[in-house]
Amino acid sequence: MARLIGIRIAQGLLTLLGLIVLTFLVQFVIPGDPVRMLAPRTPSAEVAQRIRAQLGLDRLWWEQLGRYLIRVAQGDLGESYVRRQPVARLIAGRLPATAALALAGVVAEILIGFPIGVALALSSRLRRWLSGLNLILLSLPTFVIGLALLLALGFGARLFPTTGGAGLRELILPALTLGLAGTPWYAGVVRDRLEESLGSAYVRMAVAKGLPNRWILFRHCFPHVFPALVTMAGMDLSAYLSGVVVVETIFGWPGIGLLAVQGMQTLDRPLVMGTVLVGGAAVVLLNGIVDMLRMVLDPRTREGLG
Amino acid sequence: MAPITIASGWPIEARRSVAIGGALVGAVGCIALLAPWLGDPYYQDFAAGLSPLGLPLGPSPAHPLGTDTLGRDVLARAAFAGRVSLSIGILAAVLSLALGAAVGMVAGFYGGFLEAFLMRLTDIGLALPTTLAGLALTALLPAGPLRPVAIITILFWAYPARLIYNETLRMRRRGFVEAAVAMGEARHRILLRHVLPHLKTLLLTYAPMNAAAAVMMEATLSYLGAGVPLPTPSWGNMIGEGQGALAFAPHLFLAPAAFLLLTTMGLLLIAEGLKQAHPGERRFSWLAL
Amino acid sequence: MRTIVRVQDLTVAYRHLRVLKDISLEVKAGEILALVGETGSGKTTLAMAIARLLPPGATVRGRIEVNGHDLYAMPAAAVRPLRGRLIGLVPQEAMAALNPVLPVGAQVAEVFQTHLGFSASEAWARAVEALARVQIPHPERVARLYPHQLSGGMRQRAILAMALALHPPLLIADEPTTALDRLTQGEILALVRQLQAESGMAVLWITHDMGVVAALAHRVAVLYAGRLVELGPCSKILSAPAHPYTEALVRTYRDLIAGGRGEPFYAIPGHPPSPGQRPSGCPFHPRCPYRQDRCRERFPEPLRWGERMVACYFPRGDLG
Repeated sequence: MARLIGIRIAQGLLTLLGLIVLTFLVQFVIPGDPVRMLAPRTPSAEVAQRIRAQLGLDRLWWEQLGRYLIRVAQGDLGESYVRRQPVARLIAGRLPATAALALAGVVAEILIGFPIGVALALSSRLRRWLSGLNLILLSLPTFVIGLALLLALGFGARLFPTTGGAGLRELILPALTLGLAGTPWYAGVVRDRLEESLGSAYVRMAVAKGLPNRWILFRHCFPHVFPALVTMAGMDLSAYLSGVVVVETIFGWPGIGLLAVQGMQTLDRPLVMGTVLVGGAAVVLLNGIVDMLRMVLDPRTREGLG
Repeated sequence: MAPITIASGWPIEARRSVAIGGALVGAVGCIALLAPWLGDPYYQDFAAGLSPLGLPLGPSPAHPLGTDTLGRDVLARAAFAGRVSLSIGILAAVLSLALGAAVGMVAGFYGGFLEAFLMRLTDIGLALPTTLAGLALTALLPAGPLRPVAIITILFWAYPARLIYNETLRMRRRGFVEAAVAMGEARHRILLRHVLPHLKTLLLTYAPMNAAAAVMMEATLSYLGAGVPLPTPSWGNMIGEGQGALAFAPHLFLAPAAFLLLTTMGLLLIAEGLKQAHPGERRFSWLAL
Repeated sequence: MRTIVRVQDLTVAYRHLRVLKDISLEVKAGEILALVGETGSGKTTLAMAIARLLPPGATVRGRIEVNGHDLYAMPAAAVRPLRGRLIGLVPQEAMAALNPVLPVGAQVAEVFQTHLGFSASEAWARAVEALARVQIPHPERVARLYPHQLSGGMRQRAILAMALALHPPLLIADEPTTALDRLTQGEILALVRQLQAESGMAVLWITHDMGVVAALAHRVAVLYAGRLVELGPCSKILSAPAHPYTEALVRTYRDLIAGGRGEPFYAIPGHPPSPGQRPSGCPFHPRCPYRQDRCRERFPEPLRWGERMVACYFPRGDLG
């Protein structure tokens, strides 16, 4: 167990290191001159040289990589070309809003996806309709779902604000959007694990013992679904932390996604790369935590802990 | 004990699913092909294309899907956008699948250092936050119609790579590759003649799903202003333009969204049908007793 | 003695596959009936049909009564509470039949909670008693363990404790000892005999092992390719089998016991037929040394004498 956790952590760190190197490479190796982004109009050769020296662009590439790694390790993600502020501070300022939205999105996903998954596994009558709903949700990119909700519930029914902001009322539609986008996946996993459980030998034994169906479902089947459910929620939390870009754009939610879009529009490379790095780190970290949580939840691997 | 399974042949629902999906994709494809005969997507008709108040027009015989805020014909734009979105989406889907399959096969088949290196790379690819990385690549790569193709390929290849790697590894462990090696066949010949044919079904069912995801990704990138540059229409940037008119002209959002939905739904139906065509097992519930 | 199980003209099919054909037998209170047959002979299907636990999609014709209840004439909802109370089931593969994420004690206790409405703590105490009854050492401790922490024999005993928790008049056991070593197997068999003698329940024991039959059964039913070919008291069947298939089974068993005398072991020639390709007439005829033309044409009418039954045109030995 401890060995497994060790391997998992090492794997995560390696992936993270790779991600950092990758962000470095694309920033500094792919053509495109950052100097032009920083300098006023066309810089003289002398000014350009000074900016280069300032950014360390005149050094050898591996020396730059080393300095980059050290800086990232210290939490320094560079300075925004456009806003002239440390990228780390800009991102940190936006992180709480994004975290709140991601969390709300996962909650919405569970509240919608779990019952649908259970219904898909249990009811042949509802299966047709719910499969159709799943197919439609699966076929729509998140931003279309968001705009459709905005159209129907914001402009149509006038239930929710359409102007953006960071309050609780403003949170509902974006969270619902994320939840609906994740629902078919979540429901699919719930259905899959539940069906596996319903056809298993231990459920047949439970039936043979004469237990009521509801009892079997709650005591025997749901615990079988639970680990997969946690995995899925954790993975989606990380995906949402990094991937709420479109939802934040649509609903004007001031998180890191909105920051990244603005960075992209102004070709502010350090800012955009910073968000990629933070997002990637969130994915790696949360996936690692989820893996360990799953090990702890399963009594077959858990005993090694005690 | 594994859940008891009941074998069954290619079910009728599977064939129906593929047929409906094919028809949907085919219909959208036809409209895209007919685009030049459906009108000029760039002609801004400020006189007849807008209402007296200067607002977009709803559907009419002259403009079956109405006009946009610049008086352009929405159907013509959506049809042209179909050419752009479909070709970018499908090209990127093919490239990412080919790249991923190659990486997964080589890593799973040859093993050793190559396996370790390629699969670490795949892990990084899987850890990339898709949309954020898409934006970052947009800021880095030169603009042009090939930029979204490159971005989607870079963002998507790792998923099929992981899938194909697992499958190839399973085959290697099953031992018949070793048998072929013992028979004196060259390794790369085994890869192409024994391993690849076994992966065909998997690749075939993954392809339409990948295409649907690629079309959606293209739309997302264009919507965020990271796709093909304006004024070239794509479904994503049409939706982006329509967003501002959501309150008074929702058809500017609904029309391109409908085209997008029909395409991706068609592709997913094909994928669903192909998956059911090779049924592994049908499960049932003991609670039904 | 009271009849606990009465099976009449039972035929079971999965879609077009006929698994059982025209089975009739009885199990009385206080007796152990061993159901013997090769893999694919339909013995598990027969056991599950009696418990009304066949997978959906199976069609059942005929009549099955358990303790006076016609199980297939009742709605599913009425059968549900009877399971466990009326029939205790010990399925194949104890490991798979136990829920891996619940302690075994909880899996015994839930029977008391649902059937008798006991509180969780009362039910737990009863579960510990039930585990003690199947001679599990330190039942308080074992009750808290998860299935993967138990040995194969302990798992089997835990399942037995669940099956017998409500003292059902019928126990159905489907090859429960096959995966165990001989020593543990012997312990379980002795335990079942003792529990059966104490409670007077009827036991339907499914096995392909003639050694188990000899050690346990009062009566034996022999199943071949979905047909009941012989039925009778255990001692008679072992000493004077009437059906050529039973004769072959007994002979292979004798050879195993007496093995090592330099003579080659006897093995039945050919292979058991799969349910999809069963021979016409008597299904054993392709492998039977005594076969004649009529064996190919029609399945023989069962011959009955005394407590015995055999379905063969040319039964072995003296039927007197």
